[in-house]
Amino acid sequence: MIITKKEFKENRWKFVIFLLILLITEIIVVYFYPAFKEMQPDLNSKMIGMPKFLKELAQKQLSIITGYPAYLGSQWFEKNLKQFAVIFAILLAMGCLAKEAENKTLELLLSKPISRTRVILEKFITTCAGMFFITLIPSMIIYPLSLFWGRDINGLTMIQLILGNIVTFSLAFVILSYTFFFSVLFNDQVKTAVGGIILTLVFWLFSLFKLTKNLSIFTHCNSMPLFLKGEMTWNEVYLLFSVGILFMLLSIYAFNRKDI
Amino acid sequence: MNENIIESEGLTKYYGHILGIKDLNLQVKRGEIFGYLGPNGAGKTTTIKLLLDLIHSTKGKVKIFGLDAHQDSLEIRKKIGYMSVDFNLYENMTGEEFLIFCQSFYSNRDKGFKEKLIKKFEIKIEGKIKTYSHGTKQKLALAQALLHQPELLILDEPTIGLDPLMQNEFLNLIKEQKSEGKTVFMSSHILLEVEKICDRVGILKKGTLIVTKNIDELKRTTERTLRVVFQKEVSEKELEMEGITKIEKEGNKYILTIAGNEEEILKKINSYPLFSLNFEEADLEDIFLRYFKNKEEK
Repeated sequence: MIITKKEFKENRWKFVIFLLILLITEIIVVYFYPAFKEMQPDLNSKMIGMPKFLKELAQKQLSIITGYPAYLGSQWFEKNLKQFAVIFAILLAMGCLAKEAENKTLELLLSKPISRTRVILEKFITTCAGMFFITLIPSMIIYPLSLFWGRDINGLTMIQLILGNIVTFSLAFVILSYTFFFSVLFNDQVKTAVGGIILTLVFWLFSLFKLTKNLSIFTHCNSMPLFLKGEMTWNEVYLLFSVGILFMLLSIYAFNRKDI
Repeated sequence: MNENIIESEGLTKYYGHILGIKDLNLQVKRGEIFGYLGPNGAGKTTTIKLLLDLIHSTKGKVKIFGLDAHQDSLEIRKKIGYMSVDFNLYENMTGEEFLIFCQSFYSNRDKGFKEKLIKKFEIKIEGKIKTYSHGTKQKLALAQALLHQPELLILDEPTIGLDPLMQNEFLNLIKEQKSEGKTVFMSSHILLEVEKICDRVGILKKGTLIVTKNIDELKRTTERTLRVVFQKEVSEKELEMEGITKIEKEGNKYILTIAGNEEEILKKINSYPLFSLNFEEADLEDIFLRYFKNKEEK
């Protein structure tokens, strides 16, 4: 737990800032539900001049938001939380090992009686745990917040919110894992971030085309069935976690072979 | 004393096509201070990194405490204290936090010894490390290497960047380690400090260990200059003998370069009437330069 403690201490401000950003966003999402509901019927008329495919896409997305749970699934889990989770995952993982290599403290760390596998696992687990809690806390606060503002929360349970968070976290887990892998390969935080961003963009592009859609991690991260039909997409979640674990194993392999 | 703490056999490291070290056969004995000499880029840091399993060898083996440096690396590192050349510490920690962090890796967490080190080294432990002076950081780096009272201390250019006063203080600290029965493996290119504290030295050139000797032996066997003024004319031919590698004549004065066979040479020279005879003691710097010059010529 030596590295875990150090990592948590070093990243504590990042965790606090990311948590604050998510809390503020969440408050906005819950607060503006009545305004969104009022605007929803008029949105079609406001899309004049918009390209046809975008109009169709927006209409398709808006049509499924039939109630408050669907609104939360769409606007919180699928939009804001997902987008922030992608950014935070890259920002958290980019510094894990590359920062130590840049600062030349990795040499000091590895001169101590601790295995490379343990160093990497403790670093990764701390980052993942941090990521999980900064996404989970706002997702959990949604319930009391919704009750406070008198939102129609019937049918939405705390379990659904936790499961919705697991779906989003599975995406963040994959991004954390491959950015972490880049962090092992490059001794430079910028290169690591660029690697993470490029691969994320590639996955995002894959999600846009029918042919490559199934290869994208974004396609498999979908919490909407949970909020529309109460169905949890466990297979997709397992798939994403498996991809993440694969990248983690690759990181361990690469780190054990690396010259410091 | 004769037990080898470090023993390498044909140790070779290439970085791609670039040579780090080649066929290194090195022995460091228990309780000695071993000076590892060589110019920048000779392979000193590469050797140290191989000892600590920070990099992987291309060929060959190293044993430390009789254990394989790669396979049993964890076990070995429990008994090693290391200070690197570009020691970088966790700048956002305070000195105290840093020492506690380093100590937590070992089962031997003697709080009293930590306090003793802080007092002895006069280390500032308050405030973040990034606010400390270079000298204080270096002392802290040495303290973290000594915290768990290791049997072997590996120091890569430990006094680099220190002022002479601090350098001296540092060397005394290293000498103290020897007096406590510890083994010190120290790389340096500051020859004066090596001469001051080391028992044996190894000279490394372009990745190859060209000599490993006791400092006194090294001085004895390396070419020295002998200045002799004879009372009468002595021909150069009369002076030609084994051990005299070069003869320069200025009137009755001869400058002889000798390498070994000193006793016989002195006996022969003393058989002539002399005005004066002076041996110029070679210091380590001369020896080092001569080694490099000779090898270049060869």
